[in-house]
This record gives sequence, structure tokens and C-alpha cells, in this order.
Amino acid sequence: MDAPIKGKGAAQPPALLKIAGVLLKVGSTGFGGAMPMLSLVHTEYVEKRHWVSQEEFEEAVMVGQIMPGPIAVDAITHIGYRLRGWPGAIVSWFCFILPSFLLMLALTLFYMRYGGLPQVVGIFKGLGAGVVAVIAVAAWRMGKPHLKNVKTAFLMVAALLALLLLKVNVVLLVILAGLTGMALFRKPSDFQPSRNPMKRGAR
Amino acid sequence: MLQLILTFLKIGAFTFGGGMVMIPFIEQDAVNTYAWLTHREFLDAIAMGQITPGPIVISSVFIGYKVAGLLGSVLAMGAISLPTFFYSIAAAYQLHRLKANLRVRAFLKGVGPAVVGMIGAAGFIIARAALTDLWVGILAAACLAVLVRFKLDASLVIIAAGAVGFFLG
Repeated sequence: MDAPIKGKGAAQPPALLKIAGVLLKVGSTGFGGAMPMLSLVHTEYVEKRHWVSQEEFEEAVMVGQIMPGPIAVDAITHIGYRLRGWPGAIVSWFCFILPSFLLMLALTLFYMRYGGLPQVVGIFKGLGAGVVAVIAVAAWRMGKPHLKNVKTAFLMVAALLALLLLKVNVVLLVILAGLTGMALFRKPSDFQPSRNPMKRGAR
Repeated sequence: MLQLILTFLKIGAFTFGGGMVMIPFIEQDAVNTYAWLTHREFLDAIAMGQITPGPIVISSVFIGYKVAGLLGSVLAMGAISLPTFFYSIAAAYQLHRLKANLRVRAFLKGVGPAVVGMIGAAGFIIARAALTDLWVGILAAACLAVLVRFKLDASLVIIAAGAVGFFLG
């Protein structure tokens, strides 16, 4: 069993308060999804403070991608656990979520109170147009690598149609897709080494 | 209330592949099954989640608030993030075994393209709710062009679109 390794890059594990400070900062300034946020964390954890090594950081990003849930939250909690055990994990998880929770709560209260005003309706119509474009681009960028392979392209289109036309339950759909994957991908040659996303994300 | 917690725990436990994947999940449960909010409100919640820093999951704060006020928003956020917490700790012990296990990798390799298809489907459903006026459609096309052409931050583009909406809406 792989016991949690204390950050090899650091002589001493960082204080919980320092972890909290860094993550509160990243949590309140990190826009644009998991990879841009993780590159901010990378700057702090690996480059500036040497809390974890490059390899450990990349491994945490991979944890984020394999495990369900938001990639950045997964990765950051994982590093927190490896640095300071349970307290490190709890502090990391909480401090990373807290700033965006408070901001979102403020926006929600604003929406509940003023959401009906004509100007606000206009703003949200505009925001909605932006969201549609962002989702379309995200789906395209995430989907492009899967189009190169007949099997993955089939799974992608099948899932799209199953949800859109047949309204199949999403959890069932995920499980079915996984089982289909287990049936389709049996040879080691089916798994080419995946490219490392942090190589592009990190500055 | 219990329904809210269970639904968000389930979503947190099954969304392989990051925050975007939550969109089809939340849409199916919160909008279609339980009718906690309309498609329009769901779209607005995602918009607010995108223009705030942090993960997109934060949209669940809005849904929780609509169902049960402040307590609801805390519970929704907590419930959707809790599975993540335990997964990441479990990963510290099992990661190497998982990485080496070809069956696990085959499972994930099947799930990967499927969730992208699901995001695409959710995109269609959301687009139907969003594209209410001609100018919104044109604006969405313009945003798409800008996003494809330039590597701008998504939240910047969305905020700019909101500003346009203020004048045109």
C-alpha cells in the first residue's frame, strides 16, 4: 500500500495557516476552470514555495482527472492530505471552496432580489449567450481527441444521442459507457501514453 | 431537503471528468426530475458560476438557495464537494494500483468520450433556453468566433456578453 508521502521537495511540511492563505488567494482569483487554477497553484506550491515536487504535483493533477468531481478540488485536497494528513486535506478543501462560495452566495442574493428588473434580464440574456459559446467550445476542445479513434468517437456520439433524444439517466449512462470501455479496450496498445496537461497549463 | 443532499452527493460521486460534466447531471435532476428551477434559472446559475472564480460546481449554491435558503446553499455545496474530498484521500493510497489496473483504465477510457457527448447534449438543451431573441443568437455566434480565434479567458468573454446584453436587452 502506498502510504501518503510527505512533500519531498520541502524540508518541513508547511503550516496549515500558510496552506490556507495560499488557497484562499487562489480560490478568490482563479478564473477559467481547473487547468488555469491549477497553474496558479503550481506557481505557489512548486515554483515559489517548493512544498511539493513537479512529479508529485503532476500526480495530483492525474488524481483530479481520474477521480470524480471537479479536477482542481480533487488535486488540491490530495496534495493537502499528502502534506499534512487529514487536517491538511480539510483545510485545503475548505479554503479553496470558501471564496467562490461566498461570491456565488452574494450573486444569488442579488439575483433573487433584482433578477426581474429589465436591465438585469438583459444582462443575463447576454451572459447566457456567452455561456452557450463557452460550453460549445469546451465540448469541441474536449471532444476533438476522441474523434481520431472510431471506438471513442462512437461512444461520444452515442452518449450525446442517448441523453438528447432518449433522456437516459446520466448515472446509468456513465456506467454503461465504462462497461463498454472495458469491453472495447482490452489490449495494452489501446492505451497510448496520455499527454500531460500541466505541460501546457504551467507557465 | 434530504432529496437535495442525496441528489448533490450522487452528482458529486459520479461526475468523472471535471466541472463541465456536472451540467448534464444537474440539468437532469434539478431541472427535469425535481423542477427545483427552470431552464432559464439553471442557465443563469451556470453564468454566475462561470463569472465567479473557482470551480463551476459553485452553481449548486444557487440551486441550494432556491430550494432551502442559506442552509440549502451550504448543504448543496457541501454535498456536491464531499465525495471529491474522500476520493482524493483514497487516491493517496490506491493511485498506483488504479494506474496499473487495465480494467480501471478501460472503464475510464470508455467514460471519457461519453461525458463529452453528454456535455454536448447539455449544451443543446441549454442553447434552446438561452437563444430567446435574434440578438442573443448573434451574440452567441460572436462569442464563439472570439473564443475560437483568440485564446481569451472564458469568464472575460461571458462578462463582455453580459455587458452587451445590458444595452441590447
